[in-house]
Amino acid sequence: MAQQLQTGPAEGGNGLFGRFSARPTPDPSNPGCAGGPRSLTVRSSQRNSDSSTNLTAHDGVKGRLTDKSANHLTSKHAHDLGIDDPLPPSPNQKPGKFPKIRTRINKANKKEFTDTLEKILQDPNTEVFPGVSIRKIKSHGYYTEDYSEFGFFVGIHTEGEFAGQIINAQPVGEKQLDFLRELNTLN
Amino acid sequence: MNQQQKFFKLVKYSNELKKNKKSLLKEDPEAFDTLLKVMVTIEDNLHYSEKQEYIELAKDFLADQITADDFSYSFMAIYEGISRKLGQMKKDESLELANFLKPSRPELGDLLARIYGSCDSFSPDPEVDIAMSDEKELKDCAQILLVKLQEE
Repeated sequence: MAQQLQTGPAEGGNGLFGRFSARPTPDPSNPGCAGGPRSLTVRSSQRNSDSSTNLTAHDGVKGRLTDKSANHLTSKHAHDLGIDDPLPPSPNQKPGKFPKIRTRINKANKKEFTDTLEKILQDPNTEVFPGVSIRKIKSHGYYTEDYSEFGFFVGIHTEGEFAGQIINAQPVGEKQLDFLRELNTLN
Repeated sequence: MNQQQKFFKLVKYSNELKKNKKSLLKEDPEAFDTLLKVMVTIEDNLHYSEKQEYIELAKDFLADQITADDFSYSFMAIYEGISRKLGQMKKDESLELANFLKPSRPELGDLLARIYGSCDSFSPDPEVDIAMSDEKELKDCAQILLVKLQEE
């Protein structure tokens, strides 16, 4: 079930590489779910309408957290950093052993999430992963054991459309940590 | 001292360091790597022990009974829930860890970690410009996961 890396225009209009010059670096060690090159679709947006927060890490690297990124990451991972404000489960959600959690997106939660990311980035004990590949895109990464119940990673893209932006902020399990340490790759 | 005893000794050492605000990674990187390899095996086996959760989720998504967004959050909840459970077992130095020490399914762990990345990158909101996976990618992931788990 090998897929093609979409390097031309996406369906129906301007594709990523039709509009932006930098391309993600294909990473042979990170083949994606299908085992072959993974389809990569990055959505375009009205970049100017988005506000940002600039954070500086302990090694001097700067990362920009846009408002849209903060919404996305807060919803998915704020609970991993101890922010306990989940949305109620949807009516059709099946009861399960591992209920899904979406953190409510509001100013207070986003601020707390952003402040915690800043603490992680500024902590000199946070391990740095220069050149880490996150879904085939070169990035600068930070890993800490001291946040979340099983380690937490923050990644700043260093190439492509989102260079300079904080794109990843997620907990890291044992396998993911092994990927990081052995292959300098995440996800 | 056999492998199992060595493993529990390392877990104990790691926990003691943590209690003293120290890290095994910093204090003894070689021991950290040894422990990490074993923990990866245990994690793989724990994921496999919950395979029915993954199978039902993948089936629901492929049958369009849940949305791609629901799939992404639910998959991450299972994955993180298992990692959390493992973290607690390690903290407690649970003897149950010994039941998951035998290497068995390394490919499953690789696949699950990559699917986690796809789920993490997904958003149904077109305004979320950092979203880098789409519904088709998640469907592919669900299909591959189902095949992988049902062949074992």
